[in-house]
Amino acid sequence: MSLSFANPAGFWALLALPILLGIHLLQRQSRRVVTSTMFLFDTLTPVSVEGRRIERLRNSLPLWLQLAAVVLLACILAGPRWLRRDSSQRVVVVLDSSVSMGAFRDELARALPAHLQTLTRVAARTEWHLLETDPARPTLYAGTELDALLAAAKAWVPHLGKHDFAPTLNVARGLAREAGVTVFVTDRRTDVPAGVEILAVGHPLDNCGWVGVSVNGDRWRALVQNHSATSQTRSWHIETESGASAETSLTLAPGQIRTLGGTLPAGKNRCELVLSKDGFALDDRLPLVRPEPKRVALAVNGDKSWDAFFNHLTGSLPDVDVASGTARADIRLEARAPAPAANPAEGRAIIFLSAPNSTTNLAGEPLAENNPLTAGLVWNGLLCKQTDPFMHQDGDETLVWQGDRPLIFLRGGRAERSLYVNFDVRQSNADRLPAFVVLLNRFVESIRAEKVSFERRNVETNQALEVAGDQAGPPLGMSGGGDASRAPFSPGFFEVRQGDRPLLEGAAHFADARESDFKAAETFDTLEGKSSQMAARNSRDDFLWPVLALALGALFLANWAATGRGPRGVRGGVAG
Amino acid sequence: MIRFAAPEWALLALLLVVVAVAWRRLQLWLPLRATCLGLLVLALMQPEIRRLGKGLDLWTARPRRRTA
Amino acid sequence: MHLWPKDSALRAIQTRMQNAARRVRLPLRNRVWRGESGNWQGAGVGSSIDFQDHRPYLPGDDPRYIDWQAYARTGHYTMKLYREEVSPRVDVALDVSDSMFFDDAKRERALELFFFCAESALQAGSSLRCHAVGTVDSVPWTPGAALREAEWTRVSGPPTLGDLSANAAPAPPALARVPWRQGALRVLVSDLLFPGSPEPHLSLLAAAKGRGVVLVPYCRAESEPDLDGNVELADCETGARRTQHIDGGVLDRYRRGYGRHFEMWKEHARRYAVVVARVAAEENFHDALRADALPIGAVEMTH
Repeated sequence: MSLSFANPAGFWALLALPILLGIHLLQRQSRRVVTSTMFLFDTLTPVSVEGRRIERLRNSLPLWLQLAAVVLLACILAGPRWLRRDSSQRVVVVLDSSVSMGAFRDELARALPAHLQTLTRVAARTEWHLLETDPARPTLYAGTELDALLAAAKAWVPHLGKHDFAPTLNVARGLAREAGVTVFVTDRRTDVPAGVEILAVGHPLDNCGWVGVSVNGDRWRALVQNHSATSQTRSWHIETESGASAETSLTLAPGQIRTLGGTLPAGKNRCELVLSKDGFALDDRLPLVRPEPKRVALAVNGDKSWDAFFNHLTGSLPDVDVASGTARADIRLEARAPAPAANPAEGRAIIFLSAPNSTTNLAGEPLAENNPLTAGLVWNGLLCKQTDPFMHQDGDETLVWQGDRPLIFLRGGRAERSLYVNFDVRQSNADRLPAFVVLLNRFVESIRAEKVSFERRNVETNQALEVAGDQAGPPLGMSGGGDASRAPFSPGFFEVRQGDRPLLEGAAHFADARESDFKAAETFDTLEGKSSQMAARNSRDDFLWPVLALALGALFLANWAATGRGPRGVRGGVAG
Repeated sequence: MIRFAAPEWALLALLLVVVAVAWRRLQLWLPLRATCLGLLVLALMQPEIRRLGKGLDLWTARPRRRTA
Repeated sequence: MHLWPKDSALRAIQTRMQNAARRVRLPLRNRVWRGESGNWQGAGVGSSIDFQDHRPYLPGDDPRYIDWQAYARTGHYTMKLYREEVSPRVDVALDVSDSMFFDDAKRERALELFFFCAESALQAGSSLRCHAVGTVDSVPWTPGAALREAEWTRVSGPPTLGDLSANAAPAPPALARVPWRQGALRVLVSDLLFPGSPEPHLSLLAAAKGRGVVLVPYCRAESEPDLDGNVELADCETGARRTQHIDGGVLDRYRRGYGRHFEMWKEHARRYAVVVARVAAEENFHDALRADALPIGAVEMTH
């Protein structure tokens, strides 16, 4: 067993020692007492002489008793404990993966060792686990070396936006079990499951930052917000590879959002909007690229009566080119008669039913199947004529029904999957129905997404990227290494390539305004009580405490016996 | 709610009363001395205050199959 | 000055002691007294009806006291002896040193004892003389009258209290200056708080067939001083000072020394047949007498 103290602050009580000595010294400034029995005092101890304080102090038994009592009291307050040799504990430290934690790396580096050292002292053996709240990330450290844990925590970089801590905390609590401690390291007050202690290392920051951007052609519009509770002044400029624009000053009221706009520098595909620095750096730089979407080639195949509809349709689709031949087209727009029933599929197409005029309306309400293409669309109000339909085939995937009739369906395998519009659009109000136009747009966009081609766009950090690559080609790679399915965690430019072929050039910017707000950040911890609780669990003091307390009581009595006066009111009062 | 972890130490108070009577020169009835000894006895009795916590999560699980 | 109480307070004490003296008195019984004719049995042959003895007639004897009945029986002249009735002489001396008036209780008790002695003597019809005795001289003193300034100066000498150069121990009362009468009951009311041997003082009380009684008032501030820590002590009579650190050990030794001082007085007093009785100041007067004075015969119950 080794001795430890549950409450070392109790030793502050030792400060009473100099105070006590001071009191005894100050007593030299004695009160004057007139006596009638001076000659009796003359026969007692010699007169204490000025300047012999030390000797007088040493000879005073009550002083020694009082000094001993103070030492004992300090000892009791400090809570001496005998740590059991076989005591062990498991401490699970969970780091908050929110990017806001990145602003407090120095504070974390200071607070973590101090608090964990305290925990080290309350058990003979400590098993450490270091996790972060991103459940997708592996354990950062597991072992018995505190230094290794601290090194792992120092190297760690938070990367998530606002997210739910509960799953990881529950895992950590299960890991710590009954005899362990779970410490959640974050930067603000937050609700945690019972049994989880909080170590918060944050403090309010006067943060201003970019919160969003849109680029339309050459024009960009960006939002900048003051997240602090006070008015803030910043300056901003645009940086390119070849230089920077002049600084522009900007004053924002508390919580104010300001929209800034401008033109992308001519001849440059990349630039960066830079706000002057503050405590949180992630939202101070906003990288931008000149957007260059993938273009979709359309081929139109129909008689004259369809020209008006097809022109209207192609005009409403963004970033498409109308090709003259069908060979190089990504999508064919085609009007067909109901017969022959089975058409051989030739690539991706949107097939419109071309039927003789009819006067009979189709009966029943249109009903949409559950499909990403129809999600959230409302088909009420669609009016179609009763005409001969395309004949149904096995494998058709109906998207919209009207009565028994599949109004719109998908046909064909993956490479030839085509959209069939099974009513004559010219005889309906479909081209004025938003659901129908959106559905066609979605279909074209799905084909655009699958197209293997270069594009350039602006994304948010850590955003999921869907980059279509050649199935037979090598795997996709992110510039600077890393996962090509997500944008980088930190703001910056990046490139996704397949082999040598560039598929995506992007700029990732930070846009999680909730993480930029540090008004609620604070420093506190709930570990104080926990460490003494752990110390109590891992050590024994039960036999020591009454002994010390009784010794203190005995010192009290001895002191009073030494300073006490005899009983009063006893007749005679003469000793001997 | 207060309770004592070691109420048997209350007997020490009786002993102190005897001491106070037997050794009157200790003058244990002086307010400061009586208070000191009272606190000492109280501390030895280890008073505990129980507070109701904020609550705890209770999870129950039951097997969905009889064969589980 | 000298903490002397007002006349009204003195009269109140005197009245109180007149009553007290009806229950307790000075030790006048069981003693053969010499003195003027009075109520008490004297040592000579007297004319009282209190028959004492017979003896043969000698020429010159007063024939009135021949026991004629005895002559008829025996044929011899026999003198009938009667005890002489005398008034006992009582000399009371009050020590008026400053320590006697150390605090209110002690001052009151000292004066009570003095008036008690005077009243007790008067009620017994004795011949009373009172004296105020200081460290220098003594003056006759009528109980109830305040001492005049000149008398204070005469008995105590010039005032020394507050004189820092004075470092002497308190001087004893000048008992030799008291005109003690032959064969008188000599009562000294003094706190005996002065160093030195009791012998000279006791011998003065016992000289010339006197019988001595010393009544010693004392207060709790002397027997149980309420002192702790560093104190600067100043003597109430000489003004001498000393700094003393007082703790339990010092107090214990003080109490032992204090007790020894009075034990020494009592022991020497026994040799001179002088009674030394201590009278506590803080208790009721009768209780205070009953504690020490009554058991050792310094006072006695009237009936």
